[in-house]
Amino acid sequence: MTSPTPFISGRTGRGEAFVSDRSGSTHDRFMRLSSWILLPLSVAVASLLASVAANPSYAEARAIVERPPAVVALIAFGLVGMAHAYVGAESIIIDYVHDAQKKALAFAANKIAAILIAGLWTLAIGLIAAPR
Amino acid sequence: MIEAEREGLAERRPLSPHLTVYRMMLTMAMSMAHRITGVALYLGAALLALYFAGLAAGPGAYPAVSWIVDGVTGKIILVGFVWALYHHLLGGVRHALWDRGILMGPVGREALTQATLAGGVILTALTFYLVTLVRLF
Repeated sequence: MTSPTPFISGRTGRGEAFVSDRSGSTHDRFMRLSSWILLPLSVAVASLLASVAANPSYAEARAIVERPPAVVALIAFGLVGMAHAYVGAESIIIDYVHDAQKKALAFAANKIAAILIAGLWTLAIGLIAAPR
Repeated sequence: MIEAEREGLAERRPLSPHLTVYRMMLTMAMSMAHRITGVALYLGAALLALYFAGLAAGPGAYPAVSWIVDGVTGKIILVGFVWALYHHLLGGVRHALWDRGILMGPVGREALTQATLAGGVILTALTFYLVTLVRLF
């Protein structure tokens, strides 16, 4: 599969070209797609966190977080955001960690951390949303 | 033989993004800031996951995690997280525009980069200001 990429050339102006399509293209496509999904979710989560900052007591914070729109936004943000963070961190590791053994360790640590954070986040929000 | 040469080449490959080669420019600094805010959001998400776990556990466990959102430390964490979120988001929008060849000229790219830098601060201030006026959730 190839990926047409738009560009501006000094000689020919705007154009599109097919580029080599290896694992980086899959990363790139995933990052772009997840970014668009995260755009509205980020605004919602930022508003929610600001609300919690203004009302930090247990009862107030719980009342803010347990509302259905907040629960949906938080769970979606936690899952899509951590998947986005996982792939983003992989790109950073590829760019900066060149030793094969250290790279393998960093990949494994990234995978474990992303799964743990996304799991804890989703479980916690799920428990908050569950009827008491 | 070719494989061995390739492996040797991979080891000698210069580190991205060649910090010591190019003169630092705002677009380059913002590219670095995009990654730094990404890492900060990763760590912030871990802290917030702990906070939500404490909130889910009940009022007995809540004091152990309330510092993440309360007091001076909590405010710094939340304001920092929200700013990093907006800065990273606007950095993504900037890249999406550049992907389409929009504002890639010498003046446009600098203006866009400055706009995303200011935009992150303005959106953060606006969000914290608005939630005091309107209860969004």
